[in-house]
Amino acid sequence: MGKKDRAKDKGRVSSRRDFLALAGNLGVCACGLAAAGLGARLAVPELRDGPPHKFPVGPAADFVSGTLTWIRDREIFVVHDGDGFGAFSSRCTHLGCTVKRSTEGFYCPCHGASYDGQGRVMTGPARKNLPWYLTWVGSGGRVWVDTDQVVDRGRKNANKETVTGRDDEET
Amino acid sequence: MLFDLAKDTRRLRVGLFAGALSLLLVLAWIGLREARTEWRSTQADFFDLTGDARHTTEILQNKNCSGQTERCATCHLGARRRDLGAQTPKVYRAHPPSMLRHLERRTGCSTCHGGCGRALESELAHALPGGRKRDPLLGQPYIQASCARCHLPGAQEGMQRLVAGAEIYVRLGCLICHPLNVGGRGSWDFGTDLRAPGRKSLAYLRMSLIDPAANFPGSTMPSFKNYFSDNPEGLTDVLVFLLSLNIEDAGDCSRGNKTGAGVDKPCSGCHAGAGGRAGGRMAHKCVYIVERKDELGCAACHQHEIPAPGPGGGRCPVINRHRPNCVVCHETGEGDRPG
Amino acid sequence: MKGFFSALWGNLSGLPGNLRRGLRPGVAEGGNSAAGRLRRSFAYHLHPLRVTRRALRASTTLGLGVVSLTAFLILGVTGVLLMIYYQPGTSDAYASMQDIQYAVAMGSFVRALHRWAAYAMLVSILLHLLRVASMGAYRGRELNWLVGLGLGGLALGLAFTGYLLPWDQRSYWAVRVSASMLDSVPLLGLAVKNLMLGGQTVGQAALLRFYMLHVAMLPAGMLALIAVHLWRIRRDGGLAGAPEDGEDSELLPAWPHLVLREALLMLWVLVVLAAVAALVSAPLGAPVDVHVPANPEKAPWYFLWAQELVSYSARLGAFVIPALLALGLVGLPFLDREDEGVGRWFGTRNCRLAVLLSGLGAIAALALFEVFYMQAGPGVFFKALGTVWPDVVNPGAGMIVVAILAMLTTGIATDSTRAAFLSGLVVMLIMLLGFTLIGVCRGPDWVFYWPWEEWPGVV
Repeated sequence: MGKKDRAKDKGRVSSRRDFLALAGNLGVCACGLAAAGLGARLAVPELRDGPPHKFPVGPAADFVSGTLTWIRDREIFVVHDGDGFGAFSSRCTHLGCTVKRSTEGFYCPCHGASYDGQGRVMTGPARKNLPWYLTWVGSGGRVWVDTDQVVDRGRKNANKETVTGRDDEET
Repeated sequence: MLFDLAKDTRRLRVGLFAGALSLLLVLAWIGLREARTEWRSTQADFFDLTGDARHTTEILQNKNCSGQTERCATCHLGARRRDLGAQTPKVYRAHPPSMLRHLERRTGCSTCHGGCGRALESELAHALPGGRKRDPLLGQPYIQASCARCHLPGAQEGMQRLVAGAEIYVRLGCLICHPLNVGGRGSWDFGTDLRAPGRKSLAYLRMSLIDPAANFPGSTMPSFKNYFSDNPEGLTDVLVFLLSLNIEDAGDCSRGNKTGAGVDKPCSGCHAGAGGRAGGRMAHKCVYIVERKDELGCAACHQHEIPAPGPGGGRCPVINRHRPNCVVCHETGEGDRPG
Repeated sequence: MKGFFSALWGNLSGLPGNLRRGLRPGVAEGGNSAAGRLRRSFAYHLHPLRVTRRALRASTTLGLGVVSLTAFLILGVTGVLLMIYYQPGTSDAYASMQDIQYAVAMGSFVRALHRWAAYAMLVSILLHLLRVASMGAYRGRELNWLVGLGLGGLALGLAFTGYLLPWDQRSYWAVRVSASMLDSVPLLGLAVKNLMLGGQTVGQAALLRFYMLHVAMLPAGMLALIAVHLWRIRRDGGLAGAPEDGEDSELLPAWPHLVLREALLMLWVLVVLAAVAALVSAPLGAPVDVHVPANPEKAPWYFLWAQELVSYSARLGAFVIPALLALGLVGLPFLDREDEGVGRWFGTRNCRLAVLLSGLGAIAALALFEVFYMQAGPGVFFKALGTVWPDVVNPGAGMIVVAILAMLTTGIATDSTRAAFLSGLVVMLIMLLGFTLIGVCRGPDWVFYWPWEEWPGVV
C-alpha cells in the first residue's frame, strides 16, 4: 500500500494507517478537552460564599411603626407600618452602590439613578426597581428577612402564620 | 543620518554610556534616600542625645492587644524615660504616667491615640490609614473618646469628659432623635445613626451642632449654638462623646472590661449591648418614651407627628418630668440638673 | 595511584580553560564575533539577524514595541520583588501593602516603579496598535495582528487583576463596580463573573483568583504570546512596507545597529520610569470597608471611559461598545486588504486628510453631545426618555453613529477601505480619550466638575 494507492482513494479513509492516525489524533484531542474541562470545572466555585441570605435584623420592638431603617451590614432597608414589616434592597440596580435617601425616595450617588419611596426606579442608568424581600416576625419576636425570596413591591408581613413552610427560627 | 555606520555606532555607544550613568545616579539617589529615612535619623539622634553607644538603627514593633502591629516605639523611644530633661524634643518626651499602665497591658499606642501604627513617616503615622493628617492623632481631651472602646463611660479616672459628654447627650434630648439602640438608624426616620463607622472630623461634628444647616441643607435638626456659647467646655465634652461613638470596638482589648467602672446597676434593661450584656458601649434604649408618647402628652407641645427638640435643647418638659427614672441607672451624684 | 592524582591535578589546573570552553554555545559556527554569538544563541530565532536601513530609523516604528517589552520586563522583575512581601488574604493584604510601602527598604520605590511601568505599558501598547493600524502594517499579517490584540487584552487583564491586590477602598470598589458591569453582558456575563470572583461577592475567593491570574496565568500567557509575536515578525519578512530599492532597502546586520538601538531605548525607558517612581510614589487608600463606598467610586483610569459609558447605559457601556470595538479591531485586517500605502504613515494623502477631518469632527460631535447631555441634566434626560430609550440615545451611542458616518463618508469619498477604517478608528480614539477625560473630572455623586473647581466635602 503506497502513497499512490492512497491517492487513488481521494476523499475516503480507506487505509488502516489513515484510520489509526485519525483515531489517534481525535483521541489526543479528546483527552486534551477532557483535561481542560475538568480544570475548568475545578475553577467553578462549589461553595456559596458571602453572608447568609436568611437573617434576623433585630427585635420587632426596635422598629417603630412608621419608620424606615437602614441595616448597613445587610444592605437592606426595613420598613414597618400598619401592614406589617417589609424589606427591600439598598443596592442600586445599576451597579450595586448603596443608595441614599432623598426627598422623593432614594438616589444613587454613583451615577445619579433615583427611586421613589417604594424603590421603583424613576430616572437614571438603573432600569430595575429595588427588589423587595420576604420578611416576617419569628417566634422569638425578631424580624427576619430572606434575600433569596424576592416578593412584589410593597409586600409586608405582619406575622409568621402567613409564611408557609418556614421552620421555627431562633431562640 | 546613517551615512557613516561607524559614527552611528559610536553615537549609540555614547548614548548607552550616558544612560547607564543616569541609571546609576537615580539608583544611587534612591539608595541614599533609603539610608537616611526619617525614622533612622530620629533614632540616631536619640542615641546621640542619651549617649547610647548603639550605632545600628532598627524598626521596633509590637502587636497590641487587638492584634495590630505598631511601630510607634521606633521614634518614640523616650516614652518610659523619666530621666530626660524638660528640653527634650517632643518626639522623645515621656508619656504621662497615669496611663502608662495601659502599655504594660499591651494596649499599645494606636488603641487610644488612633493613627496608623504600621507607618514610619510621621505625617502618615499620625493620620488614619490611607490619609495624611486628615484625622490628627488624639490627645487630651479627645483621647478620652478612646476609653469607650473598652470601658463603659463611668466614674473611672481619666474619662471625666467622656462621662460629662454622655450626660449632656441625654440631657439635651439628643437621645430622642438619635437613639443608640441596636436597630440601626433610629426610631424616627430622620436622625442619623451616630454610630456609623468612619470617623468624622471634629470640625464636622462641631459644625453639626452649631450650624447643622451648613452640613445638611434642609434638615430639621435644631442648632445648639446658643446653649454652647455659654458653655464651651460642654461642647468639648459632647464632642468627646460623639467621637467615642464612631471609634470601633477594640476587639480582644476590651475583654475583661465588660462591667465598666462606676455604673453598677443592672444595666442590660437599657444598655442593649450584644446579647444584652452591658459591653463597651453606651447603647441606650429610650424606646419607652416613643411608645408612651400618647400618655406622655407629646402632642401638647409638638403639633406634628414627629417631635423635635427645641432650639437651645433641654426644654422638653417630659424629659424633665421623667428625669427621676434616669437616675435609677445614672447615679452620678450631681443631683438634679436644671430643665 | 599516581595516575589518579596527576589526572585530578591536571583537571583542576585546567579549570578556567575548560569552564570557558564548556560554557560556549556549541561549535564556533559564524565565528567568535558578537554577530556570530547572536546567531548561535537562543535569541537567534526571535531576533532578526539583518534589518533594512529603514527599520533602524526612529520614525518608522517609534520603538513602541520595544518600550512595551521593556515595561513588561520591568513589571516582571518588580512584581517578583513585591511577591516577597505581599500576602493575598483579605485580612493580610492591606497590612502587607502597608509594610511594603512604609517598612521594607526600597519598598515604596519598587511598588511605585511597578505601578508606573504598568501605566507605561498600557499607553505604549495603545500607541503601538495605533502606529500599526495607521500604517496598514497588518496587511498580510493577520495572525500577528490577532496575537497583538491578544497581548493587549492580556495587558488589560493584568492591570485589572493587579489593581485589586492592595485591597484598599479604591481597588475594592473599582473591582466591585467593574464586576457589576458583567451583569449586563448577555449569556456569558453571569457565568464569567461567577468564575472570576469565585462566588457572587468580591471577597477572599476573588482576591486569590485575581492573585493567581496576575502572577501566574496571565504573565505566562503574555510570555508565550510575546514569543509568538516576535517570531512572526521574522516569519512575515520583517517590518511591513519594506522598501524595494534605494538607500533604505540596504540590509545591515542586527549587531550592532539594531541591538544597540534597542538596548539604548530599553535603558532610557528604565531611567525615566525609575526617576518618575522615585519622585512620585504610588497611592495607598483607606482600608476596605465593604459597606461604605468611596464617593466618587471610580474605576482605574484605563477603564474610566467604560465607566462613563456605563453611566449612560449599562448594556451599552459594558457590552455593546466593547463588543463593537473588539469586533472592529479583530476584523480590521480582513475588511481592509489594500496594499497601497502600507508602511507609510496614514498611507495616501487622501487618507491623511480624511483622518484629520474625522478627528476634528469627532471632537466637535463629542463636545456637542456632552454639552447637551449635561445641560439637559441627567435626571431630566433619563426621565424624558423613559427606561428604554436612554440605552439608544446617549453620548456613547452618538459617537458610534458618528464613527459609522465617518467611515461611510470617507469610504465613499476616497474609495479606499484603509481611509474609511482609519477614520472610524480615529473617531473611536477620540471617544475613548474624551470619555476618559470627562471621567477624570467626575466628582462626588458623579457630578462633573472642571479641573479648577473644588469638589465639595462628602457627608
